[in-house]
Amino acid sequence: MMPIMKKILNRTETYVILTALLFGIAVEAVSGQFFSNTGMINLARAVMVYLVFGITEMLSLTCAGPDVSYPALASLSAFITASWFGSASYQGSIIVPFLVCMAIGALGGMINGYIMARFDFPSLIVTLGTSSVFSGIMYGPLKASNTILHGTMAEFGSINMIAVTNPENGLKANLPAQFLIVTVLYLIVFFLLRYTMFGRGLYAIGSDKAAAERSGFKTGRIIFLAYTLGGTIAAIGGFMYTCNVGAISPSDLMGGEMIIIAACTLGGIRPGAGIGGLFNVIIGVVLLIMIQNNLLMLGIPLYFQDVFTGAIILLGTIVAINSQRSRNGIKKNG
Amino acid sequence: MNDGVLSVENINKSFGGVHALKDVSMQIRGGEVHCLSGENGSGKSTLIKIISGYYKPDSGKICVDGNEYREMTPAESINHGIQVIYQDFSLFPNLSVMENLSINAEAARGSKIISYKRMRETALRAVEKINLKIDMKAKVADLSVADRQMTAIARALVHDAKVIIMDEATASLTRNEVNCLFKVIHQLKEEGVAIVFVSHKLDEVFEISDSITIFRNGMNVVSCKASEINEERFSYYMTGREIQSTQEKPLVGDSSRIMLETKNLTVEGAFEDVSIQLYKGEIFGIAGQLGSGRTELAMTLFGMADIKSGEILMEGNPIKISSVQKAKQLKIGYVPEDRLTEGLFLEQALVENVAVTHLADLSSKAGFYHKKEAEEETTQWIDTLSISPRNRNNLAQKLSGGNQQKVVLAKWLACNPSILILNGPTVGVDIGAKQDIYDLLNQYASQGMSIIIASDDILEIKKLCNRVAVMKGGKINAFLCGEEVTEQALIEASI
Repeated sequence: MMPIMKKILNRTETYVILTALLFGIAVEAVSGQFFSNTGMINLARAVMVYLVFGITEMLSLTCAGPDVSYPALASLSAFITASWFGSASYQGSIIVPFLVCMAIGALGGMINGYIMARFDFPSLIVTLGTSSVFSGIMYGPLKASNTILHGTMAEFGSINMIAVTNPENGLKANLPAQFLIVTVLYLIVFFLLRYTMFGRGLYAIGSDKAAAERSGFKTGRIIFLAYTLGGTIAAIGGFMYTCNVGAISPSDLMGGEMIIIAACTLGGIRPGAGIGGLFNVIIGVVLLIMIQNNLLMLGIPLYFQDVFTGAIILLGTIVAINSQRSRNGIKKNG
Repeated sequence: MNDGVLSVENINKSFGGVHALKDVSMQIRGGEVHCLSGENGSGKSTLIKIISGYYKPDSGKICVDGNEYREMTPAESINHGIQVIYQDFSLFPNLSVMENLSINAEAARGSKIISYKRMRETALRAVEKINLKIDMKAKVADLSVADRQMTAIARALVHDAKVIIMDEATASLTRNEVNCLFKVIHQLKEEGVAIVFVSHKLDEVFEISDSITIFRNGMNVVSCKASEINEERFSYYMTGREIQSTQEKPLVGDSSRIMLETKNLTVEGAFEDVSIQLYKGEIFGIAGQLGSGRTELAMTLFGMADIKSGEILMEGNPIKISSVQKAKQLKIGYVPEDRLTEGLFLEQALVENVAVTHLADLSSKAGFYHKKEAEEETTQWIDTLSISPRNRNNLAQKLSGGNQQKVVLAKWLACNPSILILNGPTVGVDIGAKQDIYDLLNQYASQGMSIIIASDDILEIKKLCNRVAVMKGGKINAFLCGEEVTEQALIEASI
């Protein structure tokens, strides 16, 4: 019994979940609406797109470091797709624009992946560069601007899967059908990470790239695949977001990378160390979005929220990394 | 040429303009321990990387079990039964022991989907071979160094390896752990495995090897039976010059002048009740294995630890060495064990590295740095210590281990210390440079400098020190003096 307890207490995840629970209880105490059916559905709705981007970020963080290009890539893919299929004249299947969007994302991911695999630069530098390129294409030659969606894409965004009403106050909440996409993505990526050489290779590369190469992993190919997959998933996130909002809004997602990187780190993913997985993404994203969306409820003034969120990110990261360091085991000789 | 399990013929490899391997041939038979030796940069690592498929040779061929190959990929090399155990073990600390043991095999199979059941079986088979008791689920990050070493060895055995290359596998092991490793090597040898043992620790080489190959400047200068070569010839082949010590016996020092003395010094969690005396003009040895407290003692004398009780006296006066700055004021210098992270600015030129310890001396009163003076001084040190290449603007990281160590020495000697503390002064330094460093230390000691050497290299302690404190478990286990300083006595007191 004792060793199991110790193991649990040693894990970052335990503390993240505890914090989330405590925070939930605090919000519940003030508003009485957190642990209600509508509260939960609203939370699921709020984290949905972030969870998708979280996968992209996690793939990059695991094998190399932060990817800051995904918002631009997601926006670009969604914008191109929407400008082709987002008018009332397109009434065909949603599958076509969905696949087109994925393909554009994959292409962008391949560019990241190729540069990363070929030149071995820091991921931050590479993705900072490609991010500029992606958003440059969008605003420059493509002249992106806000437009309302019509036709299939708009309809797709408004399909709901679950609709609930709070018996106490009559408030309603809906969960979009797109949540299924998120679930399927998580299942696929879980399988890839756990049961394929690609997934294990990703962790091996994050741990020690030279050692992974010596072990017989084709490191370049794995990194290329990881970024291609990441780009594809980012595009799916962008597609979901655009359909959901019902409008093309190219600048909406920009700057979101910081929240996702923070959520991943908070959830227990160690950048470039091959530590952490999908579970860490989920708990990190849920905790951070919970905090962001409910601070007002707790009486924290709006203008103070960024400071508060920032402080929590810093604190969480420091605690997590410190506990990691102390039991890392790679001690100095002597 | 094909009677060996593994042979290479006329291998050439260049990087840019540097000819790293020139027409190298060697062969290794099953059931033999073949020592591959050579100074840093002699090409032995390059050859290993070619055999393991990491580099492609420019020309020449590799023969495994009678089959010839022009080049191999890492996965092919593993499939041909070649396994390399690297100095850093090349394990994945974030993964479990089970996965570490079996992941190479999975990668070599070339399957896209992995099976945890199969991996478990592979891992169990591997640990059985060397009777290793280890928690399969533990993360490698949580293992001790010795357990990691054993895990790395077990991993090499997964594939019914025909050839196991151990690249400086003993570098971070204590003597006890080395003994364990040798037992495993003997067992493997009996099973007919060919072992390539890369090391430049002379005592280990002669203890374990059947045959010896020595590289110098990218060429195979000699391949012979271990019994056909002695230590002097070995050193000669490695360095291309006769190594002769200028100082035959350790310096005795002036016992009437005690430069530094500790009385019942205790540092929490590191060592306790340590009393030593350092005479003027001697090289005092602190021997002891990893974790015995020797490093901590050395660091304490340089102001890097909080003293719990006891005192330090300098020439009879009680002093407090509370910080590194204080130690420097007291004219104490310290050469750390890990020069790469603690001793050098790898990305900076030699000039900056040498000047950094005494910038105040090289600056005007107003605080302006005299670049010229620093440059001239560095050039002098390059000459005095024969650092090569002789360019003060070279980045420290471009130098070989031995030359890097000389730079670290230079930067402290430039402060003109009266007491110099060296921790593992020749770790990873090859024979030629080692002797240069010994000669230097002897020279400075005979001019009146007092030197402390903390080391687990028994031969080094024996060669340099007249008086030795042997530490074990945080305490001084024995004091040895003069004739008492023998290999036997040093080993017995430290284990």
